[in-house]
Amino acid sequence: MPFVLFKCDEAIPEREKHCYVKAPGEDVHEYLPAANIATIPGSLTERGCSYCGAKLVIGGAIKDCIQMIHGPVGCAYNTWHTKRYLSDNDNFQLKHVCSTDMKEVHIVYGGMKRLEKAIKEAFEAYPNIKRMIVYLTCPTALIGDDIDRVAKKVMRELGDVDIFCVSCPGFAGVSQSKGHHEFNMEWMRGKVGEYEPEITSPYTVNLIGEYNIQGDGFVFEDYMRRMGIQVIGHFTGNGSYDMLRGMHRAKLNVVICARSAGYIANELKRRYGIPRLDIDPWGFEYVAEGIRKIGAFFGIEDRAEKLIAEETAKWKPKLDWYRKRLAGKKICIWTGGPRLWHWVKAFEDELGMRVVAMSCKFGHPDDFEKAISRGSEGTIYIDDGNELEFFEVIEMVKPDLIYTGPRVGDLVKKLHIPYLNGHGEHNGPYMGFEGFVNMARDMYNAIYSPLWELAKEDIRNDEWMEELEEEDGGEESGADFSGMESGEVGAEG
Amino acid sequence: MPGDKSGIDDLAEKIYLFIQGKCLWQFFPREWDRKANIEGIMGMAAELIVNPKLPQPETLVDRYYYVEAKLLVSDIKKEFPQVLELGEDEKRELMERVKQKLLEVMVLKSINPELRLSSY
Repeated sequence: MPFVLFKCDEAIPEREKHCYVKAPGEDVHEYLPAANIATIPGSLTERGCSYCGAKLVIGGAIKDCIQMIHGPVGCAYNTWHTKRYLSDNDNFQLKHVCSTDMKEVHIVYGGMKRLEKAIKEAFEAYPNIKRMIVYLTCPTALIGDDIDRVAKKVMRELGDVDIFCVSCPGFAGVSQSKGHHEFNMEWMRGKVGEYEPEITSPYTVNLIGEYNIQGDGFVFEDYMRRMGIQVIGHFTGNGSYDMLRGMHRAKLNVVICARSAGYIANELKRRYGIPRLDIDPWGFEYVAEGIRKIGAFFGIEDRAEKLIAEETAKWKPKLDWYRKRLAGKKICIWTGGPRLWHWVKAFEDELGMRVVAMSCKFGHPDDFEKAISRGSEGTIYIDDGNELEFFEVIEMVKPDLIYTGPRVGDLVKKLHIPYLNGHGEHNGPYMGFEGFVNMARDMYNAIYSPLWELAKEDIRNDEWMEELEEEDGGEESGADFSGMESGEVGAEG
Repeated sequence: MPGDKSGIDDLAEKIYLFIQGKCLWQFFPREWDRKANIEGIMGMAAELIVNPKLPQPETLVDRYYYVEAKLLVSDIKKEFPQVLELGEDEKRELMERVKQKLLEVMVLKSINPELRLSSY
């Protein structure tokens, strides 16, 4: 019985094909959860939208361009400042975002003039920035606003600016994955090959699908620098708009998030003959392997081994300390897609943990092929998991820790189970040797924190609380605990 | 072990499972690139396992296959030292069987519905 129908899904039996438990001897050509298909009505999905995939995941991390969201102001706010992808230009892309703030009147009469005005105003407001990304959202797509036409007109008029338009209305596709796809393919079609970067090393790479979350990319850029390798296009963490237009000049594409950016890597391979090397940047063994491969590709194995030796000597004793304390702990990974398969073996093999359940929001079948091939027997694998399924899985596996996003994370916290942010990271960077120690430290701190047990206690009727109330003058403090039975309160908690 | 066909079958299965749990190149999203990777890397690995001094190829794509194959062969020798006892022909046969098993599971019998889409 490889596929599982959870009790909470009895009214939506279609969910069974999305939920799988690996049995001994099973292979990925026998069972694979359905993935990257429309969410079933009745299932409260945690998925984002296509615009979110294009803006929040990819475009928003580019450091030196204006982010112009052509839509209602809420679209801008909800993808601004929520993910900590850093840059070395004072985090311009985290501090500023522009919106055309579409209202009813603009929906009725069209928003193209408003967009043109907004683009010009934005370039005036940021005179040192000459690049821009314009995102199409649900309402502006529905009314047929031609953002490319507006962008071309402004580029002709201003002369010294360049604008990239991405058509990513939220209703397109089944999840944010569609937005990743649109951004990749549009950038490849419209921008790659337009710019000739200055080449400073015989060894050149593009870092693809790495978004510099909490400085992950800085760690990797440092490794490349120490090996004498030039990063041309960093797609897109700390990435420069123009250098990303010069991606065709790299000799190797190093791919980290194959889900959100595998498309552009494949297109670079097809059109320019640049090979695609997929690596895992989490976990000592994986990181060392990735660096060895990059070193071997350029014939600089000695530099790779030197780097690995230095980093291992510096960080391994710390990792060993955490390993002793994390071994045997049960963990769930409920994230977007690739982190399931990137993390599972690193947690199990290097930290001795047991990954008991994995779920992804926007994974495709190949993400599950990887996750199931790397994951253990008896582990639960879920596509597009819903809230009630998560509660049921928690009851089944009783995890010590859950890596997930803030939405599910808030639910988890209410159950007093340690939660860590698997998207934005808690106290990263998480990549590289140093990053994996940070990750282990976050897990240790979460699991061993006394707060989870303390949070379960209802202190409102404790004696000291009553004394405090008397000292503060009762009603003057604004607190009124009279008539509240612990049972009633507990039900709310 | 040398000359023992069932022994080679058993070893090929173990190496296949090892690759399944480790190597990302077998999971590329479309049939064309998945097949190209498996054939390119396993073909290069079959050469490297009998001739470790094989020179690095000139083209970037072949060099990529070479690098993946080199690391794979190193892992195989470490994890399955019995490989070192095999003769040249047996090593080639072993790698061919692993390649065929990978092509069977990851391409021919794959139930991944996106594998044969013509576009991304």
